[in-house]
Amino acid sequence: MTSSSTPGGTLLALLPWLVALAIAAAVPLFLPIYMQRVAVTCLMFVTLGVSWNLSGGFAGQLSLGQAAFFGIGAYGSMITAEHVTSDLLTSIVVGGIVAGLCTPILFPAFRLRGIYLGMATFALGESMRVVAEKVFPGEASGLHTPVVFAVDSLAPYYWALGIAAFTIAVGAWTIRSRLGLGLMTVREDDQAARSIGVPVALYKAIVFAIGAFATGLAGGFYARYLGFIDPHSVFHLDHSINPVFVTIIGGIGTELGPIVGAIFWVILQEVLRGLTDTPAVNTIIYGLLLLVVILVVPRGIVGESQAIWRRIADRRRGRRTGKEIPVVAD
Amino acid sequence: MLSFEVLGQTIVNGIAAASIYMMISLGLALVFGVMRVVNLAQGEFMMLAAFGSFWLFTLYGVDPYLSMVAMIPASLLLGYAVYRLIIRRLLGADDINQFLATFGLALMLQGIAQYLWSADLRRLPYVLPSLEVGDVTLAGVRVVNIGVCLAVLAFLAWFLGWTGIGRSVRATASNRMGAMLCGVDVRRVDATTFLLGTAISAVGGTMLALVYFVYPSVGAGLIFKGFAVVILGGMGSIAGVIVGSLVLGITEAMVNVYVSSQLSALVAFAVIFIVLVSRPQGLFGTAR
Amino acid sequence: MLALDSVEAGYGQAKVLHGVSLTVEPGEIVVLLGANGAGKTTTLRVISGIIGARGGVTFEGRPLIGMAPNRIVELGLLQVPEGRQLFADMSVEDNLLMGSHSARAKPHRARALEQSYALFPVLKERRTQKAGTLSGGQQQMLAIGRALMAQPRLLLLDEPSLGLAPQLVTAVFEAIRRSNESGMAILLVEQNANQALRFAHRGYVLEGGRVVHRGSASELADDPAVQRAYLGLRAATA
Repeated sequence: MTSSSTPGGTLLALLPWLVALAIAAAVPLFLPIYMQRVAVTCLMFVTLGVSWNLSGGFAGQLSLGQAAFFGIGAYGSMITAEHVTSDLLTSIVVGGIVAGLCTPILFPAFRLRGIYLGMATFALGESMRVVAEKVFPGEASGLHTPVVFAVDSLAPYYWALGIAAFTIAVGAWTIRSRLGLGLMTVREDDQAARSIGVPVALYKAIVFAIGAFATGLAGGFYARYLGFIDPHSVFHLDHSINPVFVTIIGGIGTELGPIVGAIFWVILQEVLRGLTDTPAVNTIIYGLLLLVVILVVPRGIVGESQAIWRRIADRRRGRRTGKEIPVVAD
Repeated sequence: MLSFEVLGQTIVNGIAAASIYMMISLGLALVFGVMRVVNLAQGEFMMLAAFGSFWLFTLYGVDPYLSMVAMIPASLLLGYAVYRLIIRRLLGADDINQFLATFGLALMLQGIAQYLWSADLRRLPYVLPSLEVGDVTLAGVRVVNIGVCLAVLAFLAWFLGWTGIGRSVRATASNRMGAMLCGVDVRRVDATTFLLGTAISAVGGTMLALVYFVYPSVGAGLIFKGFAVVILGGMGSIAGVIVGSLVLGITEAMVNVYVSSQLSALVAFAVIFIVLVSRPQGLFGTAR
Repeated sequence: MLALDSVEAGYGQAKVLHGVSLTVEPGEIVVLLGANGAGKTTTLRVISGIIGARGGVTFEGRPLIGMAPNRIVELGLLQVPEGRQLFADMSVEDNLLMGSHSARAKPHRARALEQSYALFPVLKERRTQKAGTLSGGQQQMLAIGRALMAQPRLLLLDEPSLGLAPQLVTAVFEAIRRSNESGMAILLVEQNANQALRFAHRGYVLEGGRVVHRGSASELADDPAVQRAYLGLRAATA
């Protein structure tokens, strides 16, 4: 996809990302403790959004059940921490791996498309929550581990940044690989993709496994970060909806979309929190924002900016694109 | 310990639940059948009507069966606004956009209800004398609910089967382009169908308030029962809704009594997943 | 009666029609010939208002572009579309009744239904059957019957002979001819050029979204270029 075939070209293409990473690494040094925590949430949203965008955006497979993998990752890391080793990295990675290994629960749904896949994965996510509540019943449903981070530690931020950067890198590699190209043909038309030799089921499995792994990492980190989890919180529907939400706001199917969307959404939430402490108002804004984005700017912030930029560039070049013929059929 | 009394009671409870599931599923199925739009906010129409009946009773002592009728015109006003501002623009949009836009609407309506009335669980204390058939007790409001449900089904059967506009609705659902080429104003059919679904769900809202709690997210819980029903019955099929509701309602009641009350919540999700994966067209639908 | 003037249309960025002009006069049968993808179906869709277009389309002097399909039907301009577009899960009779949906047709509904059944007796036999269970030929009859129910003044037919057995083709064309004799103008899209030219008055040949030949039916049938391209083609593909 990219023209960066020479090592120098690759470096040049990476430069903006490295600069962004450096800025992101410097940011918490200037933030109060409270805002550092908000930034951790933001980075989690980035991780979840970027991993969802791989399957949901680039491959066009609407998944509404990511909470399952988030919860599995959380439990994976907590159980590891409790019974095997309290080492942070090990437990988080185990959480990611367990979540990735659970991808086959999605296999039966692979033949479904669009809204049907959405509903099936949604049902799966909610089923996981109900089952988890059954498996970890009553008062004892929660798991505790000793606190790992000091209250004023910057460490959680860098852990979250590391996971987000890793996810972005894996995502960037995925969409540029043969896998990514194959998945984009699947998005357009999976019959056609199959007919040109794309192993559709395998590719779907891989991209969902990558997403599940990253989501599991986020879940594992979240669990260790809080030191306490229960089924209701880690399998919550929010973990399925938020990644979709930030990706849509930012721009579905664009690399920057989920990142921009997550930052935008977290800042907006903080601004709202400053104005009102009524959760109902937050819910109203959340809903209104979704509606407005989809009805007015369905391509999201990044997608819309790109479209505007392209139009300006076209005009500057004086290229005539030809008037579009109105199509009224539905 | 299989006793016929318990079994009978369980089945009756299941049917009573099914009567409410039908109210939300009919709205979903009608709108999907004609417009191919999945309206996630269908449950919120129900929630708002439930609150309407609750407040009319609590504040002014209005009989819920009177307010059930009053909720219809109110729901039509809201329904029309929603149709014009949102649903109409979603025709032919990507699945995911339809899903998220109507989800946004659902959240907004929930938020508004929560802002106005708080998230408290409320109960409409309206009791009718119960009916004893053998050892099975039928709560009065449940019996009337089942009756209302049958009346709605009869109305729908008459409307779709015997009126000209009903025929246009069926035609548009069957083949949109064909209907356009016959001179059907499909947009008017869309609006009619959407409002019909809204009104039915509003009636269901009052039914719900009579047997359950009223709170802002009550519709969100029900929408997934509605999904399970329409998926079970085949998206867009009315007969499928009836059977699907009964199957879901009775199965849930059975699981609740004989297996575990916690797991009865799983039934709807299991139905969605298993039916979609094994027979995507539903038990009654034909592959499209 | 119907006039298209330099019509351009397409789907999204893909332009299909590059300036199509044609006319249909009252009482005429006009045939539109052309290979697959020449723009015949698109032309009919533009006339019926299913897709938008640029250029001029008028029916009895009234501009049609931008008019909703249902209002075009009210003017008496009906289409028997490609793929028939029947209501598969509705009864044969309901399908026919849908044909007289428009305000101008509704008062004549009972008589029109009788006429349709007289024209296609097999539809009367099967009137309670679901349209989707009919054979291909019967479905074509139903599609024509449904359009006739609307009391059309101009009937657009998109490949009525497609996929039909030869004796059914004859029956379908016979029905079209009879409708025409009662004063209805007809614009017929066909790949089956031989049959079509035999009973049309005039014709147009579309190629790549442009009219490349026009003339009376006999002129076209005698034109060597048309013969080579379309009349020979039939023998090759039949």
